[in-house]
Amino acid sequence: MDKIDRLKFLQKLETLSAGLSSRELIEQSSCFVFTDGMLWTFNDAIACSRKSPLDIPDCAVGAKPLLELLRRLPDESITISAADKHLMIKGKNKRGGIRMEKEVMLPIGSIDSPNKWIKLSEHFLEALEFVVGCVSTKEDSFDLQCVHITKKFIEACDNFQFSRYPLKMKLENSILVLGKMIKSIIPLGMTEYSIAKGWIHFRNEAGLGYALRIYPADDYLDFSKLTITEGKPLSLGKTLAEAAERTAMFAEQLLDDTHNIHVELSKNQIVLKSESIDGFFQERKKAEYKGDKINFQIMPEQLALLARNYRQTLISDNRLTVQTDNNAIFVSVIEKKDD
Amino acid sequence: MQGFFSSAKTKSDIPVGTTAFCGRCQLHKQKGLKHPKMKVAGKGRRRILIVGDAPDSVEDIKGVPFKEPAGKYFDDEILSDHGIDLYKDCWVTTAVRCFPKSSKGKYREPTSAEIECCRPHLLQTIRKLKPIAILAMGIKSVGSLVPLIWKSSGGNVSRWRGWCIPSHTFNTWVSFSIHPLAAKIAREKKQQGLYEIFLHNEIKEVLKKQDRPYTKIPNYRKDVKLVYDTSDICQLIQKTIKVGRPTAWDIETNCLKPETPGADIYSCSLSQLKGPTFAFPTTSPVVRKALVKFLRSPVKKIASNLKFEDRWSRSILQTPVRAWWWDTMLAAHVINGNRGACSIKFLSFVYLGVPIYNKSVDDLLRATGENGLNRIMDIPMEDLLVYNGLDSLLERDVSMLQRAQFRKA
Repeated sequence: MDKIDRLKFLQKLETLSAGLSSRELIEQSSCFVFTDGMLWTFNDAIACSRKSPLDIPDCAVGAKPLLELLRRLPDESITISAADKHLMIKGKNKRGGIRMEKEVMLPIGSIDSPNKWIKLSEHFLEALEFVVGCVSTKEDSFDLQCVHITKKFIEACDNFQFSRYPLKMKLENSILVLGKMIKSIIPLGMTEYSIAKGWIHFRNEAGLGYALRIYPADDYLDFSKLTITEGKPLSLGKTLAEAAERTAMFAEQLLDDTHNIHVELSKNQIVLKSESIDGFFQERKKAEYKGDKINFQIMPEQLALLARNYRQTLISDNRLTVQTDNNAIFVSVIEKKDD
Repeated sequence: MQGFFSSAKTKSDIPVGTTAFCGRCQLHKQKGLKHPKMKVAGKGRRRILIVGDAPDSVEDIKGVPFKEPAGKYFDDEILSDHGIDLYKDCWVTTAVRCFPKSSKGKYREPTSAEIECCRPHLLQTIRKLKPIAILAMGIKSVGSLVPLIWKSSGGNVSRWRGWCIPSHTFNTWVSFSIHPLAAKIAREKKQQGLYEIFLHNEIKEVLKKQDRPYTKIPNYRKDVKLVYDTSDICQLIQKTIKVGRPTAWDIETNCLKPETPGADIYSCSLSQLKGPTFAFPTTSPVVRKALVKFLRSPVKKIASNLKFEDRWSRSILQTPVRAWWWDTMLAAHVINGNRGACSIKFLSFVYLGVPIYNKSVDDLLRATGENGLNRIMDIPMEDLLVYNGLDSLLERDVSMLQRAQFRKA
């Protein structure tokens, strides 16, 4: 019977939650699986593992009730043991049992083992954070739901915003990894990676391992044209972000699916406008700009993001571009409008 | 707002996973199953993978696919004639790995959802074993395999049987046949002739394949030249006429019938036998004039569904087409008159193994109703020309294989 720190145990379990699935399409994909001294979660796209903190026989335990019970218990330390049909959790004057299956059916055997471990670039997680906001959530484009990792850079695009971060990776071929999955490794301080057949493995110094399914990038779109920085300098004021969010109010009520706001840019002035059947909103702000008058549409959240994070941009007929000090590029689409 | 690329260009499907969805299917949890999630059997000495439908009660008890009477008949009466031992020379698996029981405990056909849940296992099996040839036997195995190599709707066995497809997806030969049970029942009813011949023929074809279809998967796209400049287009057309070799031609239009108000031809492609393939926009009157010259020339012309091209050239280009030489659709009707087996997409898949190549334009080329217009205008010209060029190139190559087939017959 193991006596353990409840919060530490809970934290360890939570680091594996990216591998859980809410719908159990794959057997035991909504469970924490204890097998061969390891603790696993796996939902087909991502497998998470670490050394098991419990000395119990192989079993699978429903993740949702286990996490819920651990969160509700007030005790600092608890004892956990495996009974016939339940994983027993005991605190002071209280005990609970989570139903468990003794037969492990989680198909972790289908994950190819890591080969040679390679040290991750110190900028990898920063690069990932930079590009991952650009992955698409639209289901009709699988490729755009992924982060594209190549030997020289990593990039993502949802067709309205694009970002690329130069970074050296040791890869045979370019790969695609689902953005919503690889995003989960950002806070985990991964230090090494390894490419296996169909998988990319990451691990950190604490022994936490993530294996993410990779897909061939043969048909990934070529975004090299977007990396050519061009246009006139436009410096966005920091308060423009809030103005864009305010203006979004009436754009959100539009029936089209892009919800753009209108922007009128003239010498040192930027005017944001939106209008719907319920009313209209307009806000004028200062902006450092010396070019000709341009009217365009943009997604308000992208304008807010640019104003908040980068400020110095380049504006051309169809895009707003940002180039950071380390040559990373962020491009947002705009649609030029005639007066 | 318009994105960096058209929505047609950014469209891409979710790849089939390699983990079976047993948690959703639940067939393995049926009471009394002896061998749920049946394993692949056989040693595969000849690297042939046989895929059946689903195990029945006998196979479930024995834990080996094809161990029921129909499988035994297939092994003893059919394969043995070709010197093949089912379990020594082949690998054997099923589209659904668990015995699907009816409420009375008897075999029932697996549902399409059950097939879908088990499909990742078939994919994993193919990737792991790397067979030189796959023989899918029965409607359920067709339903499981076809979406992995072509498109989601497989159709019936008669559409597929008889082909030995050089699949690009797995670089393997893929063949289809009736389930041995159908041949066995026919034999018991003393109608054995045709079905057994089918089985023998398909086995014979599979056994001819000693190696993978390709050392390198062909890239047809790189053979299609996109031409935009009017004088370049006219020169290429002129050269095609001068060389005089049989040429496949194909047009893309904004509706099905040229008599529809506003009907027009947007692009055309020519693919010359042993020569170049080029696709071009047809908006310029100068280009149209050159095209008319080609259509009136004695160059032998190939098309898929020639009556479509003929009708459009008469109506829009005001000229009949001289020297029609081959229609891949017509030839397909003669070779194999099955429904859904005559389009150039199907033919280029079964003859050349080319996977679906019209995903990016398909939705926009579909007209609303018989007399409605499609949305060809929304397709970026580059995408349209690539698609158009592939059509004529594949028509050309398919026509050559069909002609060889005719000569052989």
